[in-house]
Amino acid sequence: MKKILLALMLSLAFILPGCGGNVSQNNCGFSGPANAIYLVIYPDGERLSGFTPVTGGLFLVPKRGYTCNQLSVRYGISLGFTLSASPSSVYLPSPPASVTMSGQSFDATYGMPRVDYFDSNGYLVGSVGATSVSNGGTSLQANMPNLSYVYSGTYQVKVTNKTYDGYYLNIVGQAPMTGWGRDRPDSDGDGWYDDEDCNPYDPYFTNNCNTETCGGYGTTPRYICDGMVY
Amino acid sequence: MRLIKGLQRRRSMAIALAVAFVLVGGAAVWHASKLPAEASSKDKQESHKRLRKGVGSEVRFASAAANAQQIDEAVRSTDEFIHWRSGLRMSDETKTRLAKAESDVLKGKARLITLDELTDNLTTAVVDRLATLTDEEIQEAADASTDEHGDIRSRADGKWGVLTKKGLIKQGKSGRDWSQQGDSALRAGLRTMIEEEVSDRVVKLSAALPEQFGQASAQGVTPTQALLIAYSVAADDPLADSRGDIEQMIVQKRMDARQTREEKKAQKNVSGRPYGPRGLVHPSAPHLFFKAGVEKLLSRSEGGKK
Repeated sequence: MKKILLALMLSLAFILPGCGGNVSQNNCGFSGPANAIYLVIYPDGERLSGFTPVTGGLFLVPKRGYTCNQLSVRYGISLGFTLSASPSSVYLPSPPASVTMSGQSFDATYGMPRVDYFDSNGYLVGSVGATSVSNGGTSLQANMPNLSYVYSGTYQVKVTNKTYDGYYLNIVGQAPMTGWGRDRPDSDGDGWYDDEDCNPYDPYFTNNCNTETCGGYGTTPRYICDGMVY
Repeated sequence: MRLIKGLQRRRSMAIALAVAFVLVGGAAVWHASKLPAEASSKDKQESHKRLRKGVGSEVRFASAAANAQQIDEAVRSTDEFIHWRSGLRMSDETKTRLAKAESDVLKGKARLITLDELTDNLTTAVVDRLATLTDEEIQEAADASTDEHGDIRSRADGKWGVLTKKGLIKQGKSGRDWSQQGDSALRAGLRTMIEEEVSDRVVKLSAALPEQFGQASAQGVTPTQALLIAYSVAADDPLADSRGDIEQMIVQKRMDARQTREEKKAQKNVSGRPYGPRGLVHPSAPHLFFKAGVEKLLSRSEGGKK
């Protein structure tokens, strides 16, 4: 009985025929290169990305109501180079018009690389296309994105090359950059900056917008919902 | 005809078991999402290192010579560890009972919990709780287990693919019906799977933290260790990685997704925590079962003195 149950459990994901011969009712199985970036494109334009297993081989993605052969899969690589940005420190109220990235493997063969700016929490704060790439791919120029809503702190500038079929999937690497001259406000003084606070003007709301806490409105303090206490 | 009906029932049972596991929180494959199934020696070393940086560093296990204050600290650090990762919070009453149970075991007044006992307790807790789940709780479990893309993974590494919310709710109700009927196949199937999950965790913990878990397979575990293993099974949390490592992992995940703060604020189906309801690394609904599981463990400890 044990074996039957386990075999049935395991077979659920792999029992039905389909693309690659490894598909369940809800999933499609694809094989890709080891530890590569994959991008699944659904017919409605929705996208799903992730990494293939480090040893390569099968990975499963949800069908979302489509057949497996309606899904398009693309692969990319992450070179993981440490890059440098110039300037590496930016006065935010008056930023420079452009930035130069130095490193290697910048590639404009299929289109200009994309330059993304992330804050210290990993949130995207700006994205621009490069304006030029040097011969040899060791430096890149790009306009500075709109930083008028960006606060002082450390940022990461990430460069991604375009693939032959038009997707930004080949990550070159990233460089640190410091922004200064515009401190983050905490209007309600609850210890959470306005841009991360669920309600910047109510101290009972912090950054925990959708989790296990109850209350937290008006003068009702937040408390842990009963169901989460054991 | 009987054979066909039998096969249909077995398949339905298998789906219900899978669903029960998702409802439990996805008693998942122990491997981290990017580790291969057959771990090399290097991978094992890395896995052990990550465990030592996680539960090994953040939970201060009490030794046999521990005083009351050190045992309280072990319980407090366990609570903090689980709470930071999943949002589950230990009540004051549970803390007191757990500290007493831990003290009794460490002082030799009560015996260790064998892995069989732990497995039995968890199985009973899951089967009993499954029988009493309301439609709302099943819906809540489905919501809490859904990731930011609207998918439900029965395993954190996606090995068994993805379930739809509708499918999970339907099969969850079937599982409840079988549990209410006292279906022995459901119980036996769940026990086998929980046994494997517990065993997997103990093997890894024994290798990574031999001072604390080295005797677990042969002799058993303390109540605090049992609670940590139960939580790991329920939330599919491997207990690995420090807070800093996990925060960095989440930052990297956001960067990969190119998410803005506005998009994050607009999301209704993610918490700020890595595990547990709407978790960022692996969402699950362990709270539905965990309380019952802990209660069983503590009752056993309180009644299982030498």
